[in-house]
Amino acid sequence: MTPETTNHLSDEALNDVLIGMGSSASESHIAACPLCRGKVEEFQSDLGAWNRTTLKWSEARAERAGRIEVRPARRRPPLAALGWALAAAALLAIAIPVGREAGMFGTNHGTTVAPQEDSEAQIAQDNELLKAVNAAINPDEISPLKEYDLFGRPHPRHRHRPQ
Amino acid sequence: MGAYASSEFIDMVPRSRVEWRCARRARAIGELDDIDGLVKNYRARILRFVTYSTGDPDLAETITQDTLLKAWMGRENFRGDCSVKTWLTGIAINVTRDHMRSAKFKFWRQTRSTALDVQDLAAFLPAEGSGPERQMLAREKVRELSQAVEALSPNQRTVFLMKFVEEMPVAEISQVLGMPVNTVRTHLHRALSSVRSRMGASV
Repeated sequence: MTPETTNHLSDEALNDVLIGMGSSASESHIAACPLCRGKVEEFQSDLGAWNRTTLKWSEARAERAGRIEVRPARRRPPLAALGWALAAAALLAIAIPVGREAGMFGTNHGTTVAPQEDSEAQIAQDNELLKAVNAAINPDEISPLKEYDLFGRPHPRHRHRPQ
Repeated sequence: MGAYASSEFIDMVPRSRVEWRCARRARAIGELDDIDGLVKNYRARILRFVTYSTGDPDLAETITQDTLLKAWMGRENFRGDCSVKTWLTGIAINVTRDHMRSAKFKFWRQTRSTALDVQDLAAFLPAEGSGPERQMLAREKVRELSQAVEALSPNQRTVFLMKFVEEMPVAEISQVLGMPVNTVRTHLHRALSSVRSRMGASV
C-alpha cells in the first residue's frame, strides 16, 4: 500500500475534487485510491440519476403548462406626466376665472371679442319663454293671501307698537 | 500620443477573440430571436432550477415564463460573453429574487407545509435497464438527494444547483451572482457537506 492510499482525502479535499477545484495531489490520490474514488463516483452517479429524473419531471411539467404567449407591450402614459397634466389643468381652471374677474386678460385693450348683442327677435322669444315658465309655476289660482285680503295687513302679534 | 481611436484599440485585441465573441453573440441573438425555440430548448431546465430554488413548482412556472419573456424582450442586451444558458440562469435568479422579496410569496411560503412532492418526482426516474431492486434503491437516492437539496440555505442551494445541475464553472457562478470565488467555494463546501451527511455520509 502506498502512502497515497493509506491517508485518505479529508472531507474538504474530497469536496474540492467534487467541485472541480481539487489540487493535483488530491487528483493523483483519487486516481490511486479505490475508496476515495468510489466516494466521488458514487456521488456523481447519484447526482446524475437525480439530474435525469428532475429534468424528466420538469419536461413533463413544462409540456403540460402550454405555450408561452408573447403579447406586444402596451405603452402606458408615464404617471408623472399625467400628474403634471392634471395639475396644469386644475391651475388653469382656477386662474382663468380669477384672471377674468381681475381684468387681467386685457378686455380694455380691445383684444378680446365683445359679446354679441341679442337680436330683438331673440329677446322677444326669450320673454315668451319666461312667461310660459311663469305660467307653469304660477297657476291661475287665487292665492289665499289675496283671497282673504291678508296682503298688507300686518298680523296683530307683529304689529308695531307706537313708541 | 493621444488616446487610441476605438478601431485602433480593437485592432490591438487579438482579432480571432473579437471575431469569436461577435460570432457567438450573433448566433445567440439568432437563437434568442426565436421565442418558440427558446422555450423548447431552455424552459424545462429553467423550470427545474427555479423549482428547487423556490421550492414551489407553481410559482416556478410563472418565474420561468417571466424569465423567458424578459430574455426575449431584452435580447439586444445580451453581450455574448457567456452562454445563453448562463445568461438565462442569471435572469432567472433575478426574477426569483424579485418574487421572493414580495410579501405575497413570504405569506404562501409560511403557509405551505411541503414544497415538492418527492414521491411524484421519483416516478420520473428513467428505467435504464436495471432490476427492480436497483430501481427502488435509485428512487430512494433521488428522494434523499431531493430532500437534502431542499434543506439547504437559499445561497447554498443556488450555488449547488448552478454547479451540479447547470454545470457552471465556479468562476462563472461567481460572475453571475456577483460573489467572490472564495465565497462561492465556501457555499459549495457547506452545501456538499450538508448533502453528503444527509445521504448517510456514504458519499
